[in-house]
Amino acid sequence: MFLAVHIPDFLAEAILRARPELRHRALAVVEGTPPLCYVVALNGRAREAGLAVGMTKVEAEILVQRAGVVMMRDPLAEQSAHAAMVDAVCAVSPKVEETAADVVVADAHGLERLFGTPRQVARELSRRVAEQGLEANIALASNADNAEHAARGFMGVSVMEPAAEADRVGSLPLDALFATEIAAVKSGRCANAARASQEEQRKTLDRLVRMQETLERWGIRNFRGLAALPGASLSERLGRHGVRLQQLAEGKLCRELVLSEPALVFEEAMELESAVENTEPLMFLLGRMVDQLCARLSARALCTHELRLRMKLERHAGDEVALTREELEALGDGAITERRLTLPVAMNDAKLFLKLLHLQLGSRPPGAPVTHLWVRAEPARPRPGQAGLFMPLSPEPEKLELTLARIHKLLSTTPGSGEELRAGCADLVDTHRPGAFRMTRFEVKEDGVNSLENAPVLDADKEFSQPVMALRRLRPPVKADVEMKNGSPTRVSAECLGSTRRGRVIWAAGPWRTSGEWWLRGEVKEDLAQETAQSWARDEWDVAIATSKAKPSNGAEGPKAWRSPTMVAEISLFRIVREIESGLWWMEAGYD
Amino acid sequence: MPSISFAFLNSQSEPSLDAVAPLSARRENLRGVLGNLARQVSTAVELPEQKTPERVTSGVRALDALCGGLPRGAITEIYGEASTGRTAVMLAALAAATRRGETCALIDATDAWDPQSAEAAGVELKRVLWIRCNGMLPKKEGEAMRFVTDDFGNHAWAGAAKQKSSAWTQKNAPLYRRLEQALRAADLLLQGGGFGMVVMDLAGLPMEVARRVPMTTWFRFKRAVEPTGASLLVLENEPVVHGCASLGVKLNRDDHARAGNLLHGLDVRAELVRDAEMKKRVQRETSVQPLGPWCNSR
Repeated sequence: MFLAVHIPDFLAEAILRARPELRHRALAVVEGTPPLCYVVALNGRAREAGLAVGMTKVEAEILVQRAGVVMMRDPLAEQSAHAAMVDAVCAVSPKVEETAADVVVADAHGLERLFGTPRQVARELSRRVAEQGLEANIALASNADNAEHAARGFMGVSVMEPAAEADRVGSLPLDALFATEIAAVKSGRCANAARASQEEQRKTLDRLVRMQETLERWGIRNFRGLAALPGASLSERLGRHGVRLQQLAEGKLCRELVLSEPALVFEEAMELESAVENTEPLMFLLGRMVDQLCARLSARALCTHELRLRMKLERHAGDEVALTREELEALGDGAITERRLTLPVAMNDAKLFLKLLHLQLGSRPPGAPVTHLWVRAEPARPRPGQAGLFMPLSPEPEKLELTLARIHKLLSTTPGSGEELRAGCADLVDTHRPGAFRMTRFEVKEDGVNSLENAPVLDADKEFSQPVMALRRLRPPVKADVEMKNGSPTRVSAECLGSTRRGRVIWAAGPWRTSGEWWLRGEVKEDLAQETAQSWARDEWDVAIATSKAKPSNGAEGPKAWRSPTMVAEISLFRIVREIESGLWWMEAGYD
Repeated sequence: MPSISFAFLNSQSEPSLDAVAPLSARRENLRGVLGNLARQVSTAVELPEQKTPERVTSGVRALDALCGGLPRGAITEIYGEASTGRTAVMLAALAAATRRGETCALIDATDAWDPQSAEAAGVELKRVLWIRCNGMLPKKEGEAMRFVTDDFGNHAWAGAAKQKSSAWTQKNAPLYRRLEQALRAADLLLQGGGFGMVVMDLAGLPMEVARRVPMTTWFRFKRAVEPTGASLLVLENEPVVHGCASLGVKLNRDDHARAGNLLHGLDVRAELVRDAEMKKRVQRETSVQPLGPWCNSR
């Protein structure tokens, strides 16, 4: 058995897939260079309105009026629609032939073990195609040509029972046969056409058109009529090509499929008729594209670990004033800007992707009206993880990614934009510089702990560690006024986080001189931030500062307690630093 | 309501049993009747059963002996003045949690966390999500003041409105923004779930700012953390969570231990001021040792 999927009015269907709200309206697709644009495809409602292929754009607009739209052909949407159709067929059968832009034929042998009867196979395929947002004809027959002819000639799902196949094929209109042949010549699938030059290809097409006209004059309307003609007489009048067409109409030819291995490229593209300026309508369009992309990934049982959004921006009229000449040249016809979502694990959740894109576009808007959209997903195998009973608490990667994106928005930072990360994982840097670290992306550490044997052994003694005195850093360090006596600080005053730290030094330890990276002067190390590549030389002091603090008087409660407050001394430990080169004092951290 | 039920039960029970049966038998009989009644009569709102929260180690042996560890699915409040070892206790708790293989989050309102100290304390840095609130003011002017209205309710608004024009409020707008970021980040993390420990470090914020958080916010956090199984640890200068915290520990410093010209450590006293289970006050001694690498570098 072979199955074939054909999308009637493919050019219109590709646009309808991208804009499903037009399904209930008349749609005419035009092609050409304005003003010479002609209708090349129509949907059913447009035909009902009296439109026909070959009309000019003006004629189509007059006929359609407000009941429909006339749109230019969209090659990007056609590519996406074709890829979606191939993905849907690949979900059912691995042996696929990309026969034409609007037809895919596949080998259905052995599928009964997976899906059941041929009718169930057809139903499954129909469901898969519908998931991709496409309306297609599906046919199952004993050979590839019959399946393709039936898909082109019959609407909906057609399953050819072996006993009744000849009879059903006989009722097919001859248009299906010639449409198949013309598509084969255009795509180079025909053995002769593959080697033929463009001129010969044109001659073949002309011959096919002449043969179709001849058969129409003879009154041959369907396959049965062509099959009934005497072979010798047909050969005398139409030559060997006519005999071949007769064999096809009889369903006797058995050709081998030219199997293709569809590339795992998952990209949805859209050209917008008018530029979109605001985020909300842009998200509306992106929502559809991401849905389609996730459906395609699902059909191939794949996920993605990276999502790339490319946007072509419209060139503003005011750009000439605002931008320099070089910038204008670089902008050209319009700049393309890219947003990239790098995911910690492979996922396939359209809602999550849309929320992440929304958050990223919210923090980094495109900056100009968008005219073209491309969304591309890098395919990856699904995560084979399974939660175990003995796994320690850990957030779900999908939820965590969304939470992190929201936190980044809250902190007004955008990961990957060159700004310093404010939410992530601290990574110590290989340097002696005090307080040096760098922020890295936070990812859930998976140890593969899914059984009792692999669970962390909790030793009662190892659960406790000796507490260490910790530093609380002031970022950036605050400038301090320090009074010195006999080479030791006696009073310190500094303003930090809305309060003044001023007091007498009751104990001091130091100075400890540290210096480093003076050998890197003038150089910039690649793995460190530029600021950390600067040398340092300083004296550090540990000081205990006594500050007086008002406390409510004992025994009294409420506001009365503050009428005569008691002044108590609060002693805090700090690390103060003097830069040797500048002589400036800084309060760097507190001990806690 | 109990007395009415009891009268009803008495009228239904056999009088001979009261006179003859021993007390234990009568009690059993009463339990059986109450059980039958509970099955027959349903309440409009079923109150969830209050389970005793599981406790995990705080990483400090003396503190565990004092309070039995940190409760899961509840708020633990640790407060004290500067240099009383709050951060050291927090690092010990984080170290214990990461040793158990749990993922932790630290919401750092004042961006004061020192990763080097954390690593010295045994914290596995890769397992800690560090959120560094930056207090960055929104682009639109005056949004910091709106935050006070929106997030802190009328209570905060009344106070903020009075001080709206004051220089103090204007100067501290970034601190409010830091607090706002910390609260919202905590909300997001608790809703997301999956973290073994979430630490809110508000210790660096002035008390005038930290006190602005209304009790409804802490109550919301209490409800949000209950089903997650996470320990929400809040570090402050003075208590602000109050009744919403299941465990409250106050840290006091007796003195800083010094040996010669070196800062050797801190002598810290931990006081259990609130325990939803134990309902008692205990004082125990604990100590905080010096930071090793720092001492070595001198």
